[in-house]
Amino acid sequence: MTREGSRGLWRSGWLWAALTLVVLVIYPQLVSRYYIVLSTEVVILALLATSYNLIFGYAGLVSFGHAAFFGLGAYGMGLLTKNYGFPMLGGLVAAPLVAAAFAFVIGWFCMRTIRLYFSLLSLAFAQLLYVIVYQWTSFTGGSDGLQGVPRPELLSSHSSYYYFALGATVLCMLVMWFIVNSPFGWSLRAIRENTQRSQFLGINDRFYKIIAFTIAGAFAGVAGGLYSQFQKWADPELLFWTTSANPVLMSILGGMFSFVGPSVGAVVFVALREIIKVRTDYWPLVLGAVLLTLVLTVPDGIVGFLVGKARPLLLGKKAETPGS
Amino acid sequence: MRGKTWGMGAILLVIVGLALAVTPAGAQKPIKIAMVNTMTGGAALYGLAGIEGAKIAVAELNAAGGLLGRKIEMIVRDDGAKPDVGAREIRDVILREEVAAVFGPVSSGVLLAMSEVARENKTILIAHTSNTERAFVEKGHRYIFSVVPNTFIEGSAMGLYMAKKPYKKYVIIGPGYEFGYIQGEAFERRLKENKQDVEIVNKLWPKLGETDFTSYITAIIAAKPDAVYGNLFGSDLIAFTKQAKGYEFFKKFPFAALYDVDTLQGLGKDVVEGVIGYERGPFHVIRKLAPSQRLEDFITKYRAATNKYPSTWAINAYDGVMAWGKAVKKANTVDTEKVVDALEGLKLDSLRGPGRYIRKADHQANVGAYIGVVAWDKSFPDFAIWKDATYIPGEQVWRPEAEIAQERAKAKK
Amino acid sequence: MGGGTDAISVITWDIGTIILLILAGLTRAAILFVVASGLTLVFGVLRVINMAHGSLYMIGAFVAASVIQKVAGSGGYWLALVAAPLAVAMIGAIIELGVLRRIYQAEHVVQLLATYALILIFDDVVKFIWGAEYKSVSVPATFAGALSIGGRPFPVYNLFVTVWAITLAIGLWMLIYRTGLGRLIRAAVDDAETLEALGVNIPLIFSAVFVIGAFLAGLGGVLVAPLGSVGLGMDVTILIEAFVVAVIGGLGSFPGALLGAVIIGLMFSFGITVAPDMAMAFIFLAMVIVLIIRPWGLFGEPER
Repeated sequence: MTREGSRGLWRSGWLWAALTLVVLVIYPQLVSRYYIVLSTEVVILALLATSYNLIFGYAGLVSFGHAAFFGLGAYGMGLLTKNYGFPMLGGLVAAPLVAAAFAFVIGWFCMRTIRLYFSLLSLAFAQLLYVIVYQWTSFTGGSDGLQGVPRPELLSSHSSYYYFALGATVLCMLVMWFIVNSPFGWSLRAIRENTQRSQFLGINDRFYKIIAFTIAGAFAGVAGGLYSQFQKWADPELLFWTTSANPVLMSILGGMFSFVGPSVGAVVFVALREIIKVRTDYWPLVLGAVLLTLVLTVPDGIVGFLVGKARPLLLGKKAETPGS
Repeated sequence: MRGKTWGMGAILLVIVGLALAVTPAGAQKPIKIAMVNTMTGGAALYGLAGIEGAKIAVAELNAAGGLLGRKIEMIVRDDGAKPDVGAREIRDVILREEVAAVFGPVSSGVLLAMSEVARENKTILIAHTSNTERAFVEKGHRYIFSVVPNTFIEGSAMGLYMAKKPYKKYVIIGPGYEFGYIQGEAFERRLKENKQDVEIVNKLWPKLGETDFTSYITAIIAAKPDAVYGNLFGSDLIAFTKQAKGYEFFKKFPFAALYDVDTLQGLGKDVVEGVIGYERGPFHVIRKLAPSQRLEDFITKYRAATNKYPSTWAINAYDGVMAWGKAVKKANTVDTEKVVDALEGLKLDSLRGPGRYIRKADHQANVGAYIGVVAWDKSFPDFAIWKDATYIPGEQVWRPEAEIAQERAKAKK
Repeated sequence: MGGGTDAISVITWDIGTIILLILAGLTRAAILFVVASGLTLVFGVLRVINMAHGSLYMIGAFVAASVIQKVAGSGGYWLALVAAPLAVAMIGAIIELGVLRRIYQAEHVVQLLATYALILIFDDVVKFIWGAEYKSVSVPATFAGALSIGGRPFPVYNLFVTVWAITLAIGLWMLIYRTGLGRLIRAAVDDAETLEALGVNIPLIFSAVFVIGAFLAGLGGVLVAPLGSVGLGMDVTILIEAFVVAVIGGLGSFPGALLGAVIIGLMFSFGITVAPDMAMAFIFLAMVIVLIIRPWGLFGEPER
């Protein structure tokens, strides 16, 4: 990329981002409570999906246990604010720390294995945490979940919480954006493409991957904390492996090779769910059919398809990746 | 390229947003109510029964001209026995469909989650199946009502009943969630209050929807109790009964559990005679203790619609909808606050018999527990019912009002 | 909070109890083996993790329930024992031809997602055909009742299931090591390219293997139907458990699946009796430990 070219791109990228932000801010003033609540959910899920894509799209790690950090963030926030009287902002800082701590430990173990076994181990860890949360009724509330997570008075209305979640998410996205476009981020991409080569270049790939995993877990924890405040409860199902599938879905749906792909995936996922559910009970059938079609035909997700990148995911070979 | 990506994203967002906003919202004229119940999973048996019972009530109200001259429309949603799904569904029907009242669910865990949303959005929630007392006492609020005996009533009634038996060592087995724990707690407390030397040697909590009870059965056998008290219900109880039979469990241990009409119909010939059953509105007992033409009509309608006999969940759902309908007529409006005022102290025209009303303290109806012994009866060739049935009225065992205030104060701390 | 989890375990340990727990654990192991063996077979030969394996098991159970309902008496059960696995095998063939053939060469994540999509689809198809309620299947009259073992009654049907699983294990072993088809399968695992060069129809072998795997899943469904309730959600539960078994035993290994099943079955049986709250946690902990220390399992080999 030439200097001028990159400057031109840079400008228009931020322009579009600003426009999107304006839309997101004005939007709640025009629609009913119901859509405000829905949008809050979308915003939080976008954060979760983007955090997942840090390791999925950028580092090439297929984790099937990402929901665990989401759930840990939710429970962390819930327990700290409800049982220990933490102020909400304190909880929002502590929850990702809790999630990050777990992510670091789990990541450390997971990075010792590769590919399929990595996925299975991440799944196993997540299930282990799920069972512990589910069974530890005296601490977590067990299968009934954690009811009555408090929300500060200031944020008690639907739209006020929407703006808060939006603000928190935008902040996190900015941080993630900078991480992804930093030397650290570029090293991750290099590791994804060719681990051996990056090792020869002196990159300690295991360490980088653990850090990426921890950061991703931390942001998933923020999403979880926002979610438990939003719903005012936390539930063990948040840690179940089928919940882990959602950010994977969203990343693939929206496109795993762009930064904004997972967010688009989140929007489409929720929109699809709402539109379909009004018309039929068989929403999973539609989701399954869409997913299957997508996986078999358009591996790049919607964004990739629209932007016209070719990615031979199906052929199992790793192609050259132009920067996103 | 980056710009293009963002551009695509933004355009998509706008399109999707517009598409959502354009989705039709539904007509304004009829009064909408919603039933959020369990339609899939182990508890579906009860959820579906509740839905059918409510449908009959809605049909009767509409046949009589509706309420305040408007027809009633009932929206049905599935909570899958999951609190997060239930909460999402009730929020959906309140915010999007703008219902006047919500009925349901089966699971007490879901009830707690739904109750929070109902409170937040100031919408009436009438529980007709799930019954954790905590939803009405510690976490009670202005908008939640119960037409079903809560866990305190039910557990206490059973504690009272079993205290008359000579058994000393008990194992308690129930589904591992709110209802199981809280009702078991109430049972244990009342049992120990009325019988000195009782010992609970083990408590087992298989998850709700468990299909394989083998390890629990062997655990009970290994603990060698005098009797086993269960608050298992529905499909769980059906599976447990069938599996335990294989170990000659019922020959060894007296057993009590929620052998309601749905469970008995589900078991069919696999039922075991001699076990103690308890539940909240068995038609075959009501027929003997408080017969009425209304009940018979209901049974006829229910059988016509489903080919089964109505269980207590259908009866309670009917009672719940009728209670709300009566309150609306009394208040002469659908306005939530006025209907709530009308519901407090309301005398119910319950299928279960006369003398039922909703008390103000915890919005609980004085409905009680029915207890009997499972046995085959000539008049029902396909499924067993009860013999030696008895009814313990709600007001005999429910929590005294003074205690309610105490419990609530404790919860606030 | 609910006084739920203080399960004070007072157990009298005598031989009768221990035998009972072992037999109960073996029954569970039997079902786990039947299901996990299909999963591990498919992975071992096709290198695909079929997430929809649990759904096939569930379909087998529902088909069995319907057959038993329509055909009275024990005859219904025997018919189901044959019909259900065959029906599931046919569905397996359709999946293999329609979906799997396209993703053999793809990354594992693609295979996982595609087969996960199948779970979603099958769940709703089953709900559509059979409804949402749980079904109750009676134990066939031939196996009703209990046998006294070690002074305690144990259900005859459970023994039947255990015996069946052992027979199946022997049968599968003979299939893989004593028949022509088995030889081809083993050769395909070792060196598919050479085999293809020799003119063997590899895609056909792959299809055959997947169909056998599906058959096993369906068989598991029939066997388990009288043991518990048949309902939606049993696919997810068994999938996780079969996964644990296959991973611990070693993906792709039959003896591994057998050993894994026995270990998990016994862990369950004794675990729930001794420490009910922690039984499931221990099982996942075992899976975590195996994946950390020896990812390819007790009997497996490192992935090429």
